[in-house]
Order: sequence, then structure tokens, then C-alpha cells
Amino acid sequence: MKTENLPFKPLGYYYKGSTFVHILCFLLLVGAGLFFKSRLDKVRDFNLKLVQSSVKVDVVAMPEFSVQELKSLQQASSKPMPIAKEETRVVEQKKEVIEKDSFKVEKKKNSFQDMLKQYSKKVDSKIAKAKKIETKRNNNDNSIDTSKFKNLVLAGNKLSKGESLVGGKAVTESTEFEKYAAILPDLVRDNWRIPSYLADQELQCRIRIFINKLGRLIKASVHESSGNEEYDLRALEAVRKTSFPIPETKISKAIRDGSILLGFPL
Amino acid sequence: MKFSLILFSLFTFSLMAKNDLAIVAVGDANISKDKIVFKYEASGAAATDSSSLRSLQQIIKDDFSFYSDLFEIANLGNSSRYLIDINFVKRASMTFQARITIKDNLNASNIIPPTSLDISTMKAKLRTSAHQIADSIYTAITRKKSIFLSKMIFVSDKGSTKRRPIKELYQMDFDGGNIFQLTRHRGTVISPSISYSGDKVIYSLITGGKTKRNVNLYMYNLRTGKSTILSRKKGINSGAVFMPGDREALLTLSHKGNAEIYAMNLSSKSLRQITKHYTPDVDPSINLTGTKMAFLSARPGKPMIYIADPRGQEKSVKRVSFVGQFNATPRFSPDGKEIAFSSWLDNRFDIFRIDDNGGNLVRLTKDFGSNEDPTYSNDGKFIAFSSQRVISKRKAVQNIYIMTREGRILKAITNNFGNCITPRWSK
Repeated sequence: MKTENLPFKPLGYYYKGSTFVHILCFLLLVGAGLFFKSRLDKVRDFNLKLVQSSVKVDVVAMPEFSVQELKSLQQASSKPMPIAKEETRVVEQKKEVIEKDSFKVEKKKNSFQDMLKQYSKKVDSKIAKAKKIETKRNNNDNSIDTSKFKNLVLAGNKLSKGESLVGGKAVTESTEFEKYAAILPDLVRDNWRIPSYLADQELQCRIRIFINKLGRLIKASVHESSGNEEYDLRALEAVRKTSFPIPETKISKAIRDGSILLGFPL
Repeated sequence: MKFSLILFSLFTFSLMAKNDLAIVAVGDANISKDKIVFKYEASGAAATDSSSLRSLQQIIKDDFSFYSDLFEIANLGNSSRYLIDINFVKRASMTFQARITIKDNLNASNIIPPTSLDISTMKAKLRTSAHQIADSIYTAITRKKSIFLSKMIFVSDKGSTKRRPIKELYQMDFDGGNIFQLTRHRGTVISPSISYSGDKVIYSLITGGKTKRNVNLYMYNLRTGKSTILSRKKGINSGAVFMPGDREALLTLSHKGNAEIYAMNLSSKSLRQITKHYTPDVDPSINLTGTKMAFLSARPGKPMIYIADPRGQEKSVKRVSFVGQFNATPRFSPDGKEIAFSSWLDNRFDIFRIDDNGGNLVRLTKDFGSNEDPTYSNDGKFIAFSSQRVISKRKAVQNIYIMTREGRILKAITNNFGNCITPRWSK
């Protein structure tokens, strides 16, 4: 019997080679896994967005805070103050399930978009209780962590429907755009002041705004005049005083080309 | 100083495509307040005249303090937008007059021509003339109607004893002055409603003691001061409200066994059924155009607010509220866009507000006793309600308060006048 004599190699050589091959295999597996995971994540995120924009259930409990309380909280939160680093969660308990037949298609309120997100982070009642106590203590200390309340329940009661039940290509883009647009009213309104005699005349004007990709206002023009010069000027002034957020790259072109009309008041 | 009122209705935001332009509604503006300074000069007047002039000025000031969202009353000597000058003028023919001037410092002009009124007539009707002056000033500045001439009706248990509890109907000015009694049944009056013209009141009276108890419907004429019976069907005849135009009234009847809402023609007394459902429907309220009726219905199992078209039977019925353990007394605002109601929460009633499409549910009162029976002012800027304070185990007081539609409580307008409930503001 003839056997081929393999050249003698020390054990270390095989050991090294085997380790190298195994590590290579492992890395390949991990890489492939990561690759597929990221693709799956993408699909899942997209589906989640679709679901979020098509079905949204609003709060189902009476508001705990009164308008006056929310107002003072809002005012407090707009002032700069040290905010404790803490996960911001909204304490909200689901109390009643809306009947199926009331699941009708209704006009979506974009203003609740942020709040709705918060609701998706449901906290169990134990944490809710703990948070309540904490809030009380904070109240006593006169140092409210206002970040907690920023998007608190202003109103509940209603189903708001999504803008599309059938997902299309433009779904994610339109939501990005709407997200951006939804922030604007709060920012502009802070700077918008009119005397009472103008407020009672039910005037309305619309201003077209052009914002570049850095979030700077390039141009603001009166698109529809109210007929009252002072009113238009005050609206323009409010727009000029506002510092706008930086738009996402996807939507920056549309926003630069002035696709947003601000309505004062509507 | 910067004063700003955030007319913070949950900002209505809408996105509408219009030639590829997205319209973003900013919402209501912050209002910078106008300052008002009152000046008062009564040299050469008799002491009584002088004091009545002073109280005239005080009533006008108090009236304007209700609109503290729009105006700030500053002290004399401050720079201000408006100057209201009340002067004592002596005329040759022995008549003394109060002369009122309103000056707009911005345009350096008088807003309305100076008005004069006789001090003797003013003294006789001090509150009324003060409200009239305040109203003309407000209207001149804002070009809108004020609440200063509006009235309120309410029910009070004043004069009742333990053995014989009575609840009678009263009327007063919007600020709680000039109270006078309307009914003298020595019985229990409930759920009053004042007509759009302001000269008629519908109310219900509980009769028959413990055995043959019935709730009958009456109409009171404020001009003649007389009550006439409208409906005495078996069961409840109550919760009546006038339809716009005062020709019809909506009311709850239970003569067929189940409480349903009917429209009654006030001259012919003919009935037209509006709701038809095996659960009770009560407490109607109507908007200014008469096209929408808010009511309470037990359809979902507990009382919830519904809206229907009262021109037909069970026409376009829509559920408005989806939450609340016990919702009660829905009341439309004058513009018909929102509904104020009370709801049971944390072992008491509190006032809430909701849009007629079910959006923007907000809480208006909190930690302020138990609050019921909201009613909007004629200009929609204020809500009056009755608030109950528990003093001891056996004693509680109920008074009528006014708050802004944003829930800022302004003041109590009844005090030490028995337990005052069910306020209704004239339209």
C-alpha cells in the first residue's frame, strides 16, 4: 500500500489554518445575517410607517389636565430651564375600547401626530402610578420636568384616521413633509401678535414661505392678502421672527420651492 | 409690559393641496391687550351725586374686567390706549348731568360722541345705565356686542325650610345684580330656558308630592309676569329649550313610557317626535340655525352626547363623545361649533368642552368643587356654571360662577342667595 507522504507540518500550522477558515466562515455568516437583518428592518419600518399612517387610535380617556394647567405648563416649557435627563414618557391609560363600528374613516388631525407617537409607548399602570407620584413631588419642588408634558394629552376621545389605507409610493415622503409642516404652527404662533381690534374683524391672510436646506427663510410673500395692511405686515413679521427647523433632505427641495402656505389664522 | 393671551385652542391644523401648495393653519393669534384708564371728576357735586358717580364708574370698570383677555384696566397717570372720562356737569336749569367721553389716544379722537345722562335718572337705574354705557364703549371699540346687557335666569332654593324645600326661578343681570323672583309656586322648579327674544321662559315644575308625582311644563311671560301651563302629559315634561325663532320648543316627554325628544309648536301645542330609540334620549340643546341638536342618549350603555338634525326623525344621528363615565347637560355655543358639558370624573362633575365633530375635547374646570350646568354667554366668550362646595357632611353651598371659554374662572356672581343652580344665559 502506497501512501503519499504529506510534508511534515507542525500542529500549529493546521491549527492556524483552521482558525483562519473558521473565523472567515463566522464573519461571513455574521455579515450575511446583518445584511438580511437590515433588509428585514427596512421592510418592517416601512410597514410600520404604513400602518401608523393608515390606522391611528387616539386616547380613550377624559383629559386629566385642564386647559389652564396645560397653558401654564406650555409657557413654563417654552422658557429655558434645566431639564433632567430622563426618558420622556406620557402617562396615559387606556380606559375604554372603542367599538368596532365606530371605526369609521374620519378626518385626520395632524396636530396629534406627535402625541399619537407618545401613546404608542404605553406604560403599564405601575409605572404610571410611580410617575404620577414623581410628578407630584416635582410639582412640590417647583421644578417641573416640563419635557414630560410637552405633548401631553390635550384631547382624547376620537379616532383619527390615516391619510391612506392603501400604501403607495409617496407615503413615507408625504408623512415626512407633513411632519415638518405640523411643527410650523407652534413656532410661528409664538411670534404672532395682533391687537384686539384686529382680532375681532375675522381677517385672514396667507403667506408663502421659502426655506432653504439649512432652515433659513429665503423669502416670504403675501399669497392672499387680508385686505388690511397692518394685519398682513404683522403676519409677515411673525414669519420673519421665526427660526425654522432644518428640513429632511428628501423634502428640502419642495420646501425650498415654496410649497408651504401659512394661513393666518387658517 | 408684554401681555399676551394665547387663544390656545388646540391648534387646528389642516393640510390641503391647492395647486401643489400645502396650506398650514397657524391658528389664533396672541392678542396684545389694550390699556384702558378711567378718569373721574366730580368737583362741585353733592355728596350723594358724587358717590353715585363713583359707583357708576366702578360698575363700568367691573364690567370691563370680565374682558380681561382683551383689555387691561390701568391706573390713572399711565399711558393708555383708551381714556374713559366721567365728569360731573352742572347745567343752568338745576339739572345735573354725568358726561362720559371715550378717547382713543392712538388716533387722538373720541370714539363715540360724548354722552350725557341725567344724574337723577341715573341714580334710579344705576346698574342698568352703567351696563348700557359699558356696552356702548365696548361696541365702539370692538364693533361687537358685549355681554353687559345680557341677563341670566337661574333656580334658587332661597327661603326653603327643612320641611318644605322650594326651588323658584329668578332673573338677574349677567354680573349678579338686580336679582328678582319670577315664579312663586312654592314648589320645585327645574330646567328653565329663556327665549331668543328674551321675554319668555319655559320651565318645568315637579308637582304631586310623593304619590302622584309628575313633571309639568310651564311658560312664564316676563312682560306680563304670568305663568301658563304648556304640557301636563303623564311622566316627565321637561328639559325644554326654545328653537331659534321662538315658535317651537324641544323637550323631553315620557308619556309613551320611554323618554324621547319632541318638538312642540308653542301656539298649537302639536308634537313632532325627533328621537326614536328604545333607550332614553334627554336634554336637548340647539344651535343658532336650528339645524343641529345635541342631546344625551343612553344608546351605548351610558349617557353619551349625540347630535341629530331636529328637522327629521332620527335624522343624521351622530355620536360625539366616546369617553366619560357620565356625561350631562350638553350645551351648544352660540356659533354652534362647540359643546360644553359636564362629566363625572374623580367623584365630582367637571366642565368639559368638545367640538361638534367630536374633536378637541378639553377640560375646563379642575379642583374647583363639583361643577355642572354650563351655559354660554351671548357672545360665546364666557361660560357660566353652578359650582358646589361641600362645607360639612350635611351642608354644601352652590353658587353660579363665570369663566372664560378657556376655563379661566373670573368670579362668583351669586353669593349668599341660597343654593343657585341651572343658570341660563340670555341669547
